[in-house]
Amino acid sequence: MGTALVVTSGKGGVGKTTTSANIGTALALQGKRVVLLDLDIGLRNLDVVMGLSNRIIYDIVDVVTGRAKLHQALIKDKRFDDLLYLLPAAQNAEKDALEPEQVVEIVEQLRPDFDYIILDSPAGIEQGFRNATGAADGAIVVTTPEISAVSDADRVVGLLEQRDMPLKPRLIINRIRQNMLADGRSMDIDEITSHLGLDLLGIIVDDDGVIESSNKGEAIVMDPDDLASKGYRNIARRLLGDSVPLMDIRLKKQGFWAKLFHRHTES
Amino acid sequence: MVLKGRNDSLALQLRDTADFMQIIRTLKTLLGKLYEETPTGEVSYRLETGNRLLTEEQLTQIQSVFADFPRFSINGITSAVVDKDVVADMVTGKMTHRIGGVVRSGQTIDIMGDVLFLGDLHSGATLCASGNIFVMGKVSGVVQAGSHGDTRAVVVGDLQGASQVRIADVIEIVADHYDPLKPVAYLSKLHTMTHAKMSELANIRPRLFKQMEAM
Repeated sequence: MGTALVVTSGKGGVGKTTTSANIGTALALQGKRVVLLDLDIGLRNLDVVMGLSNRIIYDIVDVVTGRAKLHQALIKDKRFDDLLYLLPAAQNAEKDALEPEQVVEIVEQLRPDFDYIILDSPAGIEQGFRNATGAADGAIVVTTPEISAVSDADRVVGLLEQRDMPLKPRLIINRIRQNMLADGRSMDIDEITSHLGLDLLGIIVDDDGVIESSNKGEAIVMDPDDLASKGYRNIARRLLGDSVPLMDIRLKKQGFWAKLFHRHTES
Repeated sequence: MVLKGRNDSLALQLRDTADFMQIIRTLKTLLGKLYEETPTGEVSYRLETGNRLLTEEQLTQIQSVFADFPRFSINGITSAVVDKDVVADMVTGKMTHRIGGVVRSGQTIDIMGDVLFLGDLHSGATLCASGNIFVMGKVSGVVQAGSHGDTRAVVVGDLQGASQVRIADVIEIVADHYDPLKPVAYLSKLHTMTHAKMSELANIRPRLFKQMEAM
């Protein structure tokens, strides 16, 4: 039986969709069967980030209204043989076209066939959020080292705690700017984690490659050398129960000669 | 009311200048007389209403007259006139509509008839036509021709960058089959999406060009 995890943040633009796509892909790379559910009705993105938008024939609203069977709406990611699937959101339906009970029913139907069901929540704490969290066994809260994102995450954690899920919510701190962290101008990772009172699932550095790969419809985890990719891979392993130490994202001090010649050292 | 023997059937002409109640009365007596004259066998009549268009109510009245004569039946109704709305639908359904502007993600354009598309169809948008679609603009979204099941419909134009082309109930992911030299998409006799060169269109769908000449 699969585990349903919701990826949520409250605030928009912190990387919920990117996180969903990358965790899903990383779990598939580990050989798990994964299905991603895009619950952002009216503003779907997960299909775009996954590079699967041109394969959409039916969406989640078609499934709940009976226009399509669930298996017809699932899009297989051919890069992963039979491991990674996407259930896209509707683009032209009303935001309230979906009810939490309907999402629960879909998740229950998917559970026997998949190891992980990742629910990509829309921003906000309204209907879309309730749809996404109502069916989940646990939550992954995404935030960035910014006071606004952390404040919204705090509100979301409060709402999640009322739901009493079988798994405790866990935290991902996304888009960490290494240079700002080094200068002490960014919020500290430990500070955020202890403020929110969650277990830290992982940290992801801010990386141009993430945007670049999204634009190409590919998850950054496919690139084994990228630092953000390593972060997502570590998260996937922690989800599977491995104990992986938090990676060192401190910028290495540049030597005198490197500085002199503006040579960039590997971070 | 005139009873006429046509080649293969019997026709009842309802004079369009006559009062309808009068017609019903005449129909009753006429059918009664015919019923007596032909004691056996099923007879079916075609109704010709001339320049009159029967309303639903008038039709039920006629049907109830026929119900009294179980061996008689109505074999279709023909009329020299049609309803305005029906005509409007027929005309728009045969027209080629010019559609321009920007169709954005989540929007759907649904047209009766053919479409000449002279705009931008963004990714996530759908352009639907019951007839053919001729694309001159840039399309990134879904293009659906023959949306009411017309398998003879075609999609013509450069679909580079489009996500899907659909004709009737057949769907194709463009990226998997894109060929810039074959801008004509149609359904083959085997009901599969097929692509052809522009010069082949006249052979594949000759009626497309005859229709254009006739109009």
